[in-house]
Amino acid sequence: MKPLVERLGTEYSGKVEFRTYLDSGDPIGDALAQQFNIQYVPTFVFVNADGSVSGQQIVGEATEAVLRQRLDALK
Amino acid sequence: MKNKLIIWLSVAVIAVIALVALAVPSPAVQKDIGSDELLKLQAAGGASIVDVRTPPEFESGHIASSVNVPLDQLEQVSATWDKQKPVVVYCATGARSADAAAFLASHGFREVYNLTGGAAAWTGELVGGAAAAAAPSGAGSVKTNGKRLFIEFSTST
Repeated sequence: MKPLVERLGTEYSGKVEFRTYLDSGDPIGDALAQQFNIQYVPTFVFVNADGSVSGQQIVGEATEAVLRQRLDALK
Repeated sequence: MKNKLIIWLSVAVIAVIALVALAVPSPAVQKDIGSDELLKLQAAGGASIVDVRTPPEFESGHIASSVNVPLDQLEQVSATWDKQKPVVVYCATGARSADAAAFLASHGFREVYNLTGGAAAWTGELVGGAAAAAAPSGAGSVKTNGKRLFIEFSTST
């Protein structure tokens, strides 16, 4: 997934901010993981500019088409 | 005497063929389907619809009449299911449910369908938490600084 996410991150630069939190004890990542009740990795969460969550979390591997669909749906 | 022997032999051969035909089951069906086909299966009834996502994902919104059996519990839970009954599996994107479909088909289920693209591609209605899906508890407080966010929780390994 990493090359795909990096490529999309470059492509959507300026439109969508990409954040990746690894299981490394990052306090911000840990807090967000708790907030979103993350149980499995990878999990992807999409957040609109107003802070509301867009659609459902994606748990597990996702195709490029699905990720693009969800990114394009962000408001 | 010779004619009788031929008749008995013929009967025996036919009996053996019939027994073999009964013993060998018809080929199993394992197929990827889209929303339209699932809607038809729902309308026809008789198929079990199984959501193999996690309980929080299921609670955030799921396909009507589906049951939640997370992938890691499928082996144990499906042991009691009727293998002659059609089963439709789905997840968030179709990846986990593809594994689930392969597992069920390899364990004797006769008709197994996988919803391509999962809940993300489902064009029908989701029930049981549409509001929660739009804004899960606590999620509204995400600081975005006015930017759209894509957040990935992943592993460093």
